[in-house]
Amino acid sequence: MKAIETIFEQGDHKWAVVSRDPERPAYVIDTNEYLVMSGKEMLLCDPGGMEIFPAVFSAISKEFDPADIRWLFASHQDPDIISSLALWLDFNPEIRCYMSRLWATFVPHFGGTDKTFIGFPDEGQTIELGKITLEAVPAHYLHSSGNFHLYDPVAHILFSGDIGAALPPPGAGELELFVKDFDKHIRHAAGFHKRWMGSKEAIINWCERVSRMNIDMLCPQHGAIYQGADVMRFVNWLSELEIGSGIRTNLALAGEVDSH
Amino acid sequence: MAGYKSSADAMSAGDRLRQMSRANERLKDVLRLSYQVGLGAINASLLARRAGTASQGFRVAAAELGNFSCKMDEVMAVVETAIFEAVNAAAGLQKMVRRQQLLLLASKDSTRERELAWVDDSGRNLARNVQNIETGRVQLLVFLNRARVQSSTGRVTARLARLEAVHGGSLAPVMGEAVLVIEETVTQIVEILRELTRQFENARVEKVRL
Repeated sequence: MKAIETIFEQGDHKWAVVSRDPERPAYVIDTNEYLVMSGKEMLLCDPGGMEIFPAVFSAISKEFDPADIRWLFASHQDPDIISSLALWLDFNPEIRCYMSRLWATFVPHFGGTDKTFIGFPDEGQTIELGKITLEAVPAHYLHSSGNFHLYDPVAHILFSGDIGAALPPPGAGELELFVKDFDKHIRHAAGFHKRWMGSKEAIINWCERVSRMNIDMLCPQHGAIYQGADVMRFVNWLSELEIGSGIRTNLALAGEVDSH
Repeated sequence: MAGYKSSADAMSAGDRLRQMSRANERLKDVLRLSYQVGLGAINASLLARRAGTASQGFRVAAAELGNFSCKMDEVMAVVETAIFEAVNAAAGLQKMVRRQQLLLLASKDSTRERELAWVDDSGRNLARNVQNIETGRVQLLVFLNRARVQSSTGRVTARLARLEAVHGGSLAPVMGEAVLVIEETVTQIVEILRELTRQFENARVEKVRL
């Protein structure tokens, strides 16, 4: 069962994470869903797939009132990000969904109407939530062609979608909420980033942008949260990673090149 | 097939989830109030100690309020687990209904046996889920009734404590005020539990609207 934990609290301004589920079936990738609150207004980042909707909904219900969720934020269009959209709209048809304008006509295949979506321009935009202002930060090509992260300049939290994702092998027992041992953790992030991130230029652009931000927590959609010095350690690691190199493994498997 | 046929008098899965979610929020109110009762009972015990031998009756009543608070915590923990499962089941139902809607749509004009069998299988799963939800509802009602009886007893204890408070000498007004707050809080708990009991009595699930 998924659990919910508050990771930031300052008055009625909070961030909570619906963290990974040790009991989930192995065929469904594990995800984190982040809830941002200001007063009675809530925004849910990457609400997840249809399959895990009951687990996410009931975990949120334990601590908060799901009826206060007014906004969804979809970092991109993948099914593990937003295929639960129709179920959230069944619960509350007034919910609105932020995402890249690129996907505003694709994601309705999961549900919604012409009133459901608010498409970000490529350069991003701010989002007013209760008494706080969040920033949709462009992260295009990481890994989706229309991709956004969400920054909270007061909480110093960056929700980073698939960037920072780590996938420990099943049964590894590495389900900590925060990264404890960066070197050990990053081994489970390398393969994912090499394969899923296709543009070195986009990576460098993102690393430069993020380096200028004041970030206490970098919160990926898969795997543990980077905190404190591990945030910049991760950014430096990513900037040096040879991404897109997953192709070599594929070609090697096909016997076309030598992977070494 | 029973359990998932389209029916005007059946509730939609979205309605069911909203209903469960609202009930869950009301139960959170009960938990908050229960916590306040626990603090109030500790305060009453301290006052009884300060008032000395003259308030022997109040001391017994304050101790009973403490016991009531512990028992209430126990019964509410059971209710909390049951409502969590009910919310989870209602969200699961919504997912299954959506799947069934899509299957029905896809096989609308189909006569192929395999497709129709998929729809039937999914329908049977849905019907089983509806039955499980109904079983959960009945169980939740039992727990709610238990909590309601428990809280009614607590209210009587608080009233008795208020009667005993008059023997508290110079502390009598403070003691009276302390248990009055407890009594009012427990009354709120009783009312919320009564409202929830009524709601669940009328929330029998036999079928869900597609």
